[in-house]
Amino acid sequence: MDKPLRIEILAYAPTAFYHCAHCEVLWRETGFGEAAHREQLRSGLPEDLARDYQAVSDWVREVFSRYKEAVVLQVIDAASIEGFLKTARYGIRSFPAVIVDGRECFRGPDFGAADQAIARRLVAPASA
Amino acid sequence: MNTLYVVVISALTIYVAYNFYAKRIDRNVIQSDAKKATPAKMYMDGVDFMPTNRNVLYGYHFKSIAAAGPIVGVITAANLWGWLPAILWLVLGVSFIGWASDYSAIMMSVRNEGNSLSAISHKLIAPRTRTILFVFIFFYLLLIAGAFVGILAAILSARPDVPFGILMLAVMGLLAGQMLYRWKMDLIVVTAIVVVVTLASMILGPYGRHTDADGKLIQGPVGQMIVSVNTVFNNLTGGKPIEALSTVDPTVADPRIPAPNAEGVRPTTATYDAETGSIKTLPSYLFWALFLFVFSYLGANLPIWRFAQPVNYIGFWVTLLTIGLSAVGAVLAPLTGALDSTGAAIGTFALPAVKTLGFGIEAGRAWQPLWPMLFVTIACGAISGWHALFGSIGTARQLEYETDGLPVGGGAMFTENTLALLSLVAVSIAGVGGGGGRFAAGVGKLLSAVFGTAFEPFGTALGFGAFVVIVLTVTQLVFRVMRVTLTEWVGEAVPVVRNANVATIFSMVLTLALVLTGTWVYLWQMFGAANQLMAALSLLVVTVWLKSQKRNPAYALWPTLFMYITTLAATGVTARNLYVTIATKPELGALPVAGAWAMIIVSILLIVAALLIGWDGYNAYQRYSKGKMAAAGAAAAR
Repeated sequence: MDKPLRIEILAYAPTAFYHCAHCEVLWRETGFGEAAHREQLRSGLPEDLARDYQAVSDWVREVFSRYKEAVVLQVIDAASIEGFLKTARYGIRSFPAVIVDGRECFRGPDFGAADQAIARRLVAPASA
Repeated sequence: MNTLYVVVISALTIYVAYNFYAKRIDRNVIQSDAKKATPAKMYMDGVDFMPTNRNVLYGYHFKSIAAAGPIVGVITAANLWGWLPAILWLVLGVSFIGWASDYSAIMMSVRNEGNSLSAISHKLIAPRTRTILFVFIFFYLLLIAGAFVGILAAILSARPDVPFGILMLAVMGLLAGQMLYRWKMDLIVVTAIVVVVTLASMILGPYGRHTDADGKLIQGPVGQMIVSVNTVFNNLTGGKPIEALSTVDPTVADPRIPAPNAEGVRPTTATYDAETGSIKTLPSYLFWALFLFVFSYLGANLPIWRFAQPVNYIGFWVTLLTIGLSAVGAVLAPLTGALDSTGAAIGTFALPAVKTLGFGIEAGRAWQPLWPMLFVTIACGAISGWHALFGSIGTARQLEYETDGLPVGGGAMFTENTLALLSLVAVSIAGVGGGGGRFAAGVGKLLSAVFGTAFEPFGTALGFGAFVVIVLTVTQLVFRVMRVTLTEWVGEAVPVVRNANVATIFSMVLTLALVLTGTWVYLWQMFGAANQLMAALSLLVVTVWLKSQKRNPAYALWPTLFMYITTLAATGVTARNLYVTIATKPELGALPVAGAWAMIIVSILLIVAALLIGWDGYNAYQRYSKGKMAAAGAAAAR
């Protein structure tokens, strides 16, 4: 099988804060962690950006269901070190942005151009 | 010993432990398989379950840096026992226990489809465990909040060069949230503005500070502004301390206690009476504690994007730059022979390798034996730690391949270890000072090895700033989690607690009550014990899970036993210290005595809870052992 196509999506993502991995296990067991994370994710973004993120999420699901193992998708929070570096590297000025195969960068909430670029780089399965 | 040796020896040890021990466990016991579908792939939804490249995930896992643990614990331990025991525990602890704990927790969740382990835990350990754990975790949060607010209030009230930078962090946090999420301004521009302004505000603290002809310290404009604020509040009591809030700290770890002078004697200051050992609470201390509560209130109650997230984002840059440049200084100093402002070599350790092992016990005095106390004093960095990693989802739901579990979970723990080692280097070269002061002084020296001797005071201010940022970003989240938990669990019985403001204020009042007793060092040791107990209990769950999967649990079982016994012993010693040094001495005042008794009761509760959970875990382990034997017997009979 060919190497999967890497698709990176830069967007403002909801943030939740976690404890160390092993303590999270205990927190989850008590029902302690879930409520805390849920509350943080709920207030993680203003309404308009939350809608944008939902659109990103729907598109990601759609791309994955269409291409399955042929793609690897990553959502990167723009307000993070990783997001900052990617933003600087690709000269991104607005979010969401989609980077296909590290070569093509598409900005804005319309994923049509990114869809075309992905299709161009992949042979779509017969069922698609 | 010099800083370069520490860097080289630690790097080698960690390399060997990771490649020859951790990888072996991953291969032979857990048997991670790159071909097995992870929950991220099976249930991918673009929100919660999301296959993520391991390098990105590793970044998430260590994104917010650890909290005060790897710094405060190391400083306290180096002061008590010397740098050698501290470094040995850091390196050996992370090599044999720390990585195993975090890595196993992730893999256990991955193997259970990324779901909550409630059903499994319910089977593994008795149902009452969950209730006990809840009570335990709430105390744990309270202890963290109490210890952190106590430490920070002491620093802010004593160091006029620090508060301005923290105030600007709050302002820049609010501004960054507005600029990024509301005005949707350019990320690069916003980052440049808020990070540069925050860093500059921290570095400017000592600007213009000098000594006059009479040897009197004259503050610069920023420092003078803070001194004026302190004076205004202290004048409320005529410059005198609030008698009812006087306290004592037999371990002299409270930041309000001055460091010993050249003759090894602690001088009497505005906040410390050397003759009686009394620590005084000035109104300015209460003011800065209140400032911290207001800061934390914003973090606990505003939407995450408004304050907590941007503050953490700025804080991460500040910490990354400070720690990264200090690490460069640690490597450069011995190579260039850099000297500090007093003419001493920066790269050379000033702290003795071993001060004492502390096993001798004296009636009526605090007892600090190396075992078990070292192992709870240094928690984070060796095992455990509030990584406060943030992202939209949990690590176990993001692993792209099972084989990424070790580099992500174990690797992040090793990284936190390097932060602890760097803290140890910083405090060991500083030689004098206490608490965060020694860390900041060390950072100042390391940064002066990079930028020149004249930078030392500014580097020290930045060291203080980074320290406060690391602790404060976690403190605000602790209050957020506390208020959500209170609402969730007590809200039905006490409807008023459903109000977020009431829940936050209630949490803060409880915390203030702990802070005002002044025995933060005991809080810290209690926090260390509680933290390590949580690690031991988590390892216990892993051990029972491994047993239930018919895998060799030895790599988790032995650390479980060590951490479990050590933590119980340490909790007992802490209770004993509180009893002989404070609780039985009414002449110290009602507040410290009441605080000591409260902590003794918490200690006893922790011990009882741990014993109950340990008993349940032992029974679960036995069940699976017998089950295995019965199954083997049945197979033989067939």
